[in-house]
Amino acid sequence: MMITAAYVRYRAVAGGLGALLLILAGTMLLPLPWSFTPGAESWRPLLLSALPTAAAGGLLRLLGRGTTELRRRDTYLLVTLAWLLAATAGALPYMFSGVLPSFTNAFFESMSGFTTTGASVITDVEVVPPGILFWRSLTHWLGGMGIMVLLVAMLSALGMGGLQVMKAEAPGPTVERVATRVRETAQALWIAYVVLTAAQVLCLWALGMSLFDALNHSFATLATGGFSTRNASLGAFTPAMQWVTTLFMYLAGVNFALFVGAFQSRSPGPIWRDPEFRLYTWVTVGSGVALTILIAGPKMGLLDALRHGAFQASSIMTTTGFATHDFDQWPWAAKWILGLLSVIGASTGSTGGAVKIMRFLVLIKQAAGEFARQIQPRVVRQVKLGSRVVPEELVVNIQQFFFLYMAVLGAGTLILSATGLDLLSSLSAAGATLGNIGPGLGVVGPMTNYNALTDVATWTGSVLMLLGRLELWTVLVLFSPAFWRR
Amino acid sequence: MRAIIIGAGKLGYSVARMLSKDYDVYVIEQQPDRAEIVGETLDVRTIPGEWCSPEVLSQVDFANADLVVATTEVDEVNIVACLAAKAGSKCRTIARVRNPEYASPRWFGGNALKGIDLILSPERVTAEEIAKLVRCPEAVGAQYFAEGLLQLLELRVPPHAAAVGKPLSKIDFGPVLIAAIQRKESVLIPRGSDTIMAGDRVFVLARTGEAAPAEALLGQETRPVRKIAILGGGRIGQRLARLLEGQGISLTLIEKDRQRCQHLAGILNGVEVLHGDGADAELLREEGVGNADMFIATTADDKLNLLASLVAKDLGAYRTIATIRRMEFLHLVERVGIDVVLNPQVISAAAIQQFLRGSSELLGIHYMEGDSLHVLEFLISPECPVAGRKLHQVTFPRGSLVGGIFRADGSVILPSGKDALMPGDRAVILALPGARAAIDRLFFKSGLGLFSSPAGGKSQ
Repeated sequence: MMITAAYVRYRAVAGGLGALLLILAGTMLLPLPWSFTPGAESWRPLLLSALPTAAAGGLLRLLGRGTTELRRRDTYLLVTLAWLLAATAGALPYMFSGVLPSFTNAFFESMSGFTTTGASVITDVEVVPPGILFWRSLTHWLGGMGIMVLLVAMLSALGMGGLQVMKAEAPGPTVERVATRVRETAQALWIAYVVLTAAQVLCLWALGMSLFDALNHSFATLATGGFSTRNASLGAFTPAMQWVTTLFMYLAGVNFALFVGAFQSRSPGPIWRDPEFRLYTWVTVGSGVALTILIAGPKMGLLDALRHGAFQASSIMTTTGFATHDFDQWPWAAKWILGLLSVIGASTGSTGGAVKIMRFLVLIKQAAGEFARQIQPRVVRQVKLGSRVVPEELVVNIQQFFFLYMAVLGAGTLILSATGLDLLSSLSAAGATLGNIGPGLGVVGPMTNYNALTDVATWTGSVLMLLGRLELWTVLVLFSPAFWRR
Repeated sequence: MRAIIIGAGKLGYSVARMLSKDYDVYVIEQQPDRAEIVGETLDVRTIPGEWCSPEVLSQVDFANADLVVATTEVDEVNIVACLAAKAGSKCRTIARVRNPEYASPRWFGGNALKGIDLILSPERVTAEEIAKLVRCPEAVGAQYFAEGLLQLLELRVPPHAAAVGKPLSKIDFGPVLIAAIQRKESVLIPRGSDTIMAGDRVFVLARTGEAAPAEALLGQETRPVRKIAILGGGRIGQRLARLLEGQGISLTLIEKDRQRCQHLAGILNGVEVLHGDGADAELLREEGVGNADMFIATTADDKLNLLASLVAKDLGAYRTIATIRRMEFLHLVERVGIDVVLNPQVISAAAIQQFLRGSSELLGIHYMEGDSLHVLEFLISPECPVAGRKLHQVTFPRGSLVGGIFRADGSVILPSGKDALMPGDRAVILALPGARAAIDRLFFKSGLGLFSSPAGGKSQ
């Protein structure tokens, strides 16, 4: 009896997972054109990975056949499981190709890819077969706009559950419906994403980057991921390419619903008027200028300082994690600015991670209102973004999120330091994985990587990446007893 | 002429009384006892029955009406009644619509309510009237002409004023016109030999912003308004706050309903919304109402407005304005020391009057002091009898005055006899009721005006 009930309940979840795995199996074929390089063939591991993924997907789809109704609370289960399964499937090419034989490391790399973190355990990426590198960048791109958003965009069957699924995955406290139907909303967002990616590929290609590198870096930029095909990251390319990347990282940190809105109204008005966009721009530009001033000196000219400062501000603020320079060598104040930016993060509805500008905007306004209330108890204030009032429940939700974020950051740092890491490295590693940034400071700095970590630390990083990408609630509710009560 | 009024609330009653002088008025009212009161106190015909029912409307020969005024408390009923009337006849239509969104030009490009000739919101016109006073807090009344470039201020002259007791010709008021003086119940258009006396109300016409020297001579303390406290976050309070926000004035709005407070805090910018009861004198003291340059009471409760204004005055507020809905109180309230008392129905009735009397030539008409002074804004057409003539060549009737000329090029002059009225100019004329017929003959191209005696404008 109970088994039947549970089976019925989770059939819809199984169906969704199956569809996702089938899509992923399909995407594993996309790197094939680059997998025949003599001496570094990788078509065999890619096909080998696609087969079991497709088989598992087909089986799950079969289990979930005929059901479309997804219960509201089960969307959390679906989304969390989907990300775990995607990361597992995504780890297969690394293992089968021998790039990362241990499952711990392969899973970390895969999770880092899908969550657009960009933290890597591969010591020398330049010897990895191009097909596998392409898969690595592709996981960024798929996870950037969201694998569930992709699923919603491609499947009409999810129907009403679609919005819940998107909410459970979306970066930021709200999901803007840019179209009447949820599915059209998901499609519009993906189209904006594809268009911007294509634009960057063309720019980089025009500047002389190879198509392979241009594709890889554009995937990693628009997804605010951070995987590069070079050990020196963007430092291996020309200043012009770095400036182009700076611009596109900045764009990737903007709410994509704003791009769609601007396109729909044929004017940039919706973007300029958005208070989150304004603050995002001010913080990015302001911290870029501050970094420039701090790092300019006898060893670095002003123009170079500006290029590195702007690039790094944009890279950390949007949680991309590319580097043009070893910022671990920068002055402490500059490093701390980057540390603060890594907590602030990008905009709601962007592909970036961390706490998000909108949450800070609400927290700041709420604090100002609280000051006014201390002085004048009768004053009634509403937290407003532009002309829109932020509902009280959302304000509380944001305060709670910030608390949880700090709590998880503290716990993560504790576990990492218990594995033997120094405090700076553990704090920055926890922050960089939870915020989906990638490189941190110290042991996990931009020119080193996460390879030095113990297995426990690596798994901690994987968990933090997932928690950060799904913005805590979606994963954490699964651990509340109320969730499993029937 | 036949006018149909739908809804006999306070506004409907005022309008019915005003129109009954010129029209055969039919009043449709749902509540039988209210209909009875209207029928007994006004010279109108009342039809008890549902506001918008086709059966009732056919009883009043809806199709042959000249004017339909819908003043029920329901916006939608008013809109439907007017649109239906317009569709079935050639009558003019006036609807009371409180919700500002219905009058928004965004509504189907502004075409949705094309069948309504005047969309009247008593709360909006009241708020606008108050906002005019905020620009000149020392005045007890203010009107603007010529796109706001010309102002007519009504000032109460205190005994200590420098101008008291001297003939006007002996005082240099600067570039203004002492247009009219009200003394006790009568209004006169002064000559140089007339003197101003303490307690007079003086009407000063000036280019906007240039009246200050004259005001000083008339004993007015002119000071900029920096802090305003508004009591009541209803439609008037909300509208007023919206009109005043963003002008560098510190605005406080006190409202007793918590949810309403939250709504107001959501839509207003830079306005401090306080949750509290205006009847609580301690609250008014604590929130610094005494330091306010203006205290404006706009709640729906006359007694509260009266009381709170008195408390504010006592605490030291520089000017107090109260809206009072019950007509019976009006003359009493001004005696107890509230500076300006406004009645939404009277203001609305004046707006309707202005709409009905207005034409392509008579652009604006204001009735000051009830009916004792008319201020008219005429557009001079080429066919107008006075067009192209200098003022000293025209024989103006006694008790009238050309106060200002707004040239087509945008300049405003306070004319002397040598200035001419050119086609395309706009002339602001002040006239006593006795001079109105002659003025109309001079300025309408047909030489025939629509003289009437209205119910009144603003009451002080």
